[in-house]
Amino acid sequence: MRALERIVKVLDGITVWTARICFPLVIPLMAVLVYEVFVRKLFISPTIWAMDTSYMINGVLGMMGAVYALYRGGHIAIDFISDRWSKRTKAAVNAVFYITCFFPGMSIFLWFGSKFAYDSWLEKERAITSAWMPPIYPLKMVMVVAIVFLLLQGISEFLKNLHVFLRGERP
Amino acid sequence: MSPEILGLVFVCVLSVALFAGFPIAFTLVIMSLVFGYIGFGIRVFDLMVYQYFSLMEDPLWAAVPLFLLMGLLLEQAGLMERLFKAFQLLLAPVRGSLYLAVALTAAIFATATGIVGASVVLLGVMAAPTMNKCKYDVRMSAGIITAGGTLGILIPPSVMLVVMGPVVGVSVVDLFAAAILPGLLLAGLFGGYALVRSRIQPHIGPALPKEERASSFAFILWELGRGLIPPAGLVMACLGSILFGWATPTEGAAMGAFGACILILAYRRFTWARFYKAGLQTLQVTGMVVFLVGASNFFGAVFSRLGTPTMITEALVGLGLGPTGIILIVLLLVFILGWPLEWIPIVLIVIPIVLPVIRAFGINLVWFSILVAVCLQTAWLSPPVALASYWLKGVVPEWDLKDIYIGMLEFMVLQALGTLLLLFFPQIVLWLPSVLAG
Repeated sequence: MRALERIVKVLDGITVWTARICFPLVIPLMAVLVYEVFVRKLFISPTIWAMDTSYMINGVLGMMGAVYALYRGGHIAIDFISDRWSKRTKAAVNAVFYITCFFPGMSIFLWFGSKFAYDSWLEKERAITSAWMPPIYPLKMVMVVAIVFLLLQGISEFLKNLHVFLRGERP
Repeated sequence: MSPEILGLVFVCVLSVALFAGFPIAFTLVIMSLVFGYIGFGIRVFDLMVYQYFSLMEDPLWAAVPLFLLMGLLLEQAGLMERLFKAFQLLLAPVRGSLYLAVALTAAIFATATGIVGASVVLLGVMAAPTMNKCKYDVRMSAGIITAGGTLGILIPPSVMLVVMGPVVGVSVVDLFAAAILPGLLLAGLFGGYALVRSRIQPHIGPALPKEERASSFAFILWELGRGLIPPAGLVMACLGSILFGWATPTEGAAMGAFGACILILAYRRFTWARFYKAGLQTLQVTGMVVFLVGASNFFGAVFSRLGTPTMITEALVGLGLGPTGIILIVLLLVFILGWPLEWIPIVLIVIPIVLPVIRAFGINLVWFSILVAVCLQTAWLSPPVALASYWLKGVVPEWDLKDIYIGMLEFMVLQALGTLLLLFFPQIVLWLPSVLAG
C-alpha cells in the first residue's frame, strides 16, 4: 500500500506540473488573436500566421487539459445513480471501467496516434490549409504526448479507486 | 446482424453503460471502437485518430478557452455587483423591484459572458440578503435567480452555441445572432411574470423601504452609467465584433477575454492567485469539452457509418408526422433528458442521433438549434441534476431546497411557454440573422 501511495503521489505531481506549464498558453492565444484583429481592421494587413498559431495553442490546451481534468475529476459523468452507491461500490465500478474501457481505449489511441504522428514526421508534413504552411507534425506529436500523460494519470486514478475499494478511503 | 441493427444495439448498450457514473468520454470511445470494429473493421482506428486531430486543427475550438477565461475573469471583476446595485436603486419604488433588477442584470451580464456558473452564485449573493430583508417570496426569488442566472448559456456569446454550431453544421455567427431575441424574450417573460405576480399579490414582492432608496436621481444616473458602460464596451468588443463580421467567433472571444483582462485591471481586482485559479479552471474545462467533443464526433461518425440514422429517419418519416410533430417530439426528448443529464451530453450525443430526421424534413437548422438551446436551459433547473439549485443553496443556505425546486418549476413553465412562442413564431429567431446577413 505504501508503494501504491507513492506511485499515486508521483503521477499526480506530474499532471499538476504539466497543467502549470500549459495553462499560461491561454495568454499568447489571446494576444495573437487580438493582434490579428487590430492589424487587420486598423492597418488592413492581416497576418498569415495568427490562425495557425491559434489552433496549435488550442490543440495543446485541449489535449493537456483533458489530462488535468482527469486529475481534478472534471470529465462529465452521469453520476446521479452512482451517487447513491456506497463509496466502495462506486470505487469498484470505476476500477472495472478503468480496466475495461479507459486503458484499452486509450492504448489503442496511443498506438494508432503514434503511427499517425510518425508517418507525418517522416515526411516532415506541413499544413496545407493556410498560406503560411507551418509544419504540422509537431501538433500530431502533441496529441501522442498528451495521450501518454493521460494514461499515466489514468493509472493514478485506477490506483486511487483500488485503494478506496480495499481500504475504504482515498490514499 | 445487419449494420443498422448493430447500431441500435450500440446505442442501447451505450445508454446503459453511461449511467454507471464513469466519465462519458472514455466510455464513448471504447464503445465506438468495439462496435465500429464489428461493423466495418480496422478502419475505425484511423477514424478515431482523425476525428481527434481534426478537432485540434480547427481554429473555432480556440473560442472555448477564451470564452471560459473571459467569463471566469468577469466573475472576479465586480461588474455584476455594480450593475445590480444601479438597477436596484433605479427600480426601488416599483413593486417586485428586486425581481426585475435580477432579470435585467442577468440578461445584460449574459450578453457579456458565455458561461453560466457564476451568474447564479453572484446573483444569489447580491440579491438574496435584500430579498430576505424585504420579505420577498422565497420560491419566486429562487426561481428568478436560477432561471435568470442560467440565461448566460443561451444569450450569446455562449459556449453552448459554440459547441452546438459544428455539431448541427451551422455557422456559430448565425446561432449567436439568432439567440439574442429569444434570450431577451425569456428575460422579458421572467421579469414580466414577476411584476404581474407582485402587482396581484403585493406581499410577495413589496417596493423597497425608504432606507434602500437613493437620495437623488442624479446619483442613480451616475451609478447606472458606472454600471452599464463597462459591460456595454465589452459587449461591443466581443459580441459586436462577431455579429458585424469584423472578427470570427474565436477572434471575438479573444477580444472579450482581452476586455475582461483590462476591466479586472482597471477595477484593481487583479491578483496572481485569481489569475492562477482562473487559468487552471480554463484548462480543465477546455480539456473536458475538447476531449468529449472528440469522443462524440467519433461516436457520431461510427454511428452514421453503420447506417442506423438513415433507418431511424425512414421509420420516423413513415409515421406520417409533420415537421412540427417531429420537432415537438425532439424537444420533449431533450426536455426529459435534461432532468438526469447536463447540456453537454445532450448536445453531443442526442442531437447527432436525431439530426438526420430534422434534415430529412427540411427544417431550418438555425431555428432548430435555438429551439433546442432554449429547451436545454431547463436542464440546469430540473432536478435531480439541477446544478443551478445547488449553487444557489450553497450561497443562500437559509432557503429550503424544496422551495428552490418549486420556484424553478414555475420558471420552467415560462421557459416552455417561450419555447412554444419560438416554435409558432420562427421570425423571432430568424429575423436578426437575416438582417445581419444583408
